[in-house]
Amino acid sequence: MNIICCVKPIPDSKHWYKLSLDPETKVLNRKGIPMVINALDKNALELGVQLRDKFGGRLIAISMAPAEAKPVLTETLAFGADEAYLLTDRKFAGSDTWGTSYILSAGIMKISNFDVILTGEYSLDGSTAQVGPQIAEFLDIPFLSKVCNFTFNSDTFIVDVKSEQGTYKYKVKPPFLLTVTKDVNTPHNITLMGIIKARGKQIVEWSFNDLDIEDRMIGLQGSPTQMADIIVPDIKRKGERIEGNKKEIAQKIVNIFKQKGVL
Amino acid sequence: MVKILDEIKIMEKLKIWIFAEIFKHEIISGSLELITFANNLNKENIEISAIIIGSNVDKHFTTLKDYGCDKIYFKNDNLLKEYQQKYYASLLEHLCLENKPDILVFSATRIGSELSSTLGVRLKTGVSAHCIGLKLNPENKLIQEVPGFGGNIIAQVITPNTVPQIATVMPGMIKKFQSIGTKTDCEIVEIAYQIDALENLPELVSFTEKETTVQSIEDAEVIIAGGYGLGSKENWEKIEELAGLLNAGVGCTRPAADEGWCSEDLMIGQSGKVVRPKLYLGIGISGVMHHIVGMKDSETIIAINNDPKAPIFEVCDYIIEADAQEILPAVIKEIRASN
Repeated sequence: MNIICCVKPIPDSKHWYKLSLDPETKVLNRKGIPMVINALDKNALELGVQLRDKFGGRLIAISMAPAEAKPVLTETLAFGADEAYLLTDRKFAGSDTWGTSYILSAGIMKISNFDVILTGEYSLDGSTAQVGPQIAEFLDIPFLSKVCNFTFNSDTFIVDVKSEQGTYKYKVKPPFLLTVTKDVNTPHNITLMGIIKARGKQIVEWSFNDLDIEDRMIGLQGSPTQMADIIVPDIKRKGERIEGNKKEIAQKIVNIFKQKGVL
Repeated sequence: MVKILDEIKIMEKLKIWIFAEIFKHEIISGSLELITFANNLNKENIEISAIIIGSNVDKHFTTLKDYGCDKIYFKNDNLLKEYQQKYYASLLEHLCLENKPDILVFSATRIGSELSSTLGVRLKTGVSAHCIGLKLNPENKLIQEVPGFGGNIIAQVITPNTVPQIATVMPGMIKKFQSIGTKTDCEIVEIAYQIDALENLPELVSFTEKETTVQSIEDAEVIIAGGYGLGSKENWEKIEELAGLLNAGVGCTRPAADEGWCSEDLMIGQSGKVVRPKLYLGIGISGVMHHIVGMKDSETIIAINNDPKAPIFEVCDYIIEADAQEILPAVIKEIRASN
């Protein structure tokens, strides 16, 4: 079984407070913020490792990212992927989810041999949850999103989807794409052995010219959505301190309730 | 001459389409909210349509008319009885190609997210996700307000050059949505396109409904929210006690839900509920942006936390730097005493 795992390198959330917005260009400055694997993609990789170990075959990680994200691909190899592909080109910059899904799909089609595609439900930075379903659409394969449980034996795959209303259980057959939630498994910790093995594995880099894609469909100009503005929300309020011992504080709180007509 | 002018007028109408999602024989409130939103735009020359598909949808026409639809596109088909992504997307795709709506909105549910994303690819158009605000600009383009980086930024996204402009919207964006009385001239159109059965689609084996918890907190006037700082399930129960005394809704943060103290349904934040109560009292909540995004528009915010650096203190009206585990029972005691 050949499994392809779409992985997004994102700025490390521990450093998000360093993000700054250029008020003129509205471009987010990410300098100095290290990149890490999007957490939910680790859950996807873990599932990929389980499937590969059970059925044999190859687990392939693929990302569309700037060149400096290469260490993240190395991490996927240490995690257990057999190969990694980095789709990288200045021309890709500024792509919205449509452009990103289009590019990743072209990469997947070039790899061509796949039974299952896995990815995290959403990335922590953009949080749109669009790319997984959009890749499935480009590749014309069925998909399920918000997968919280996955069980399989030699010929049946049972997938649980967590919707706001409850859990839907499906039977699926390859080829299919799944987007997974954090409930689907607990990713293992990368071991020293994994890191050593990674050194013998390949990261293939593909640029615009390596893929069967059109210029006008990618990048900032190719994206159907545009940013009209980016705002850092001004939500600060000047809070009044309430002090005293616990009885006094409680009384003051109750007074506020009365004032506001809550009590 | 008159006919041509009439046709031009029809072409100039801004066509806003709302996907009316059905669950358990009812249209979900997130969809109804969006019909109210379209009506609230209060603009001339807007045509508001609902799209409703399934196997027995006629019974919903009255509700859709009541909420203010000018038009209803519907389809009944056995293949549509349960949601199957490829069938629903295919039908919507053909309907959009034929009728060219300007705007197509979904509630940000599992179905709304899947359909919006895939339609974006099929129709080569832009899609935004989990909008917390929607506006029309002077050119009648939809400005879609979307949080990013855990809510640390709000992006205003537009789809300037293609139609439909597609968006999914967080439930709770419109606080009060209501029936406006039947629009007398609502046009009901049966969708002609026939879907063909496909092979190798995911096969639905079963559905297990979530245990229904308390009433939806989006409507609550007062919300008592608890976070990790409560420390234990016993303390969590005091949150429920306090809420009971005030007839208030109960909310939580992700860490509290992860601890198993309460249902994830009560989670307030970017991946949970967006609330705008008259009063929000946060107890033992540090206030990461992810949560703040869900409650920042509350009228009055009171926060209790023993960490002087808790980010929630930057966004609240009343700062109480104290031990939540002590203050909570004290407040309950005071309320009981004053009754």
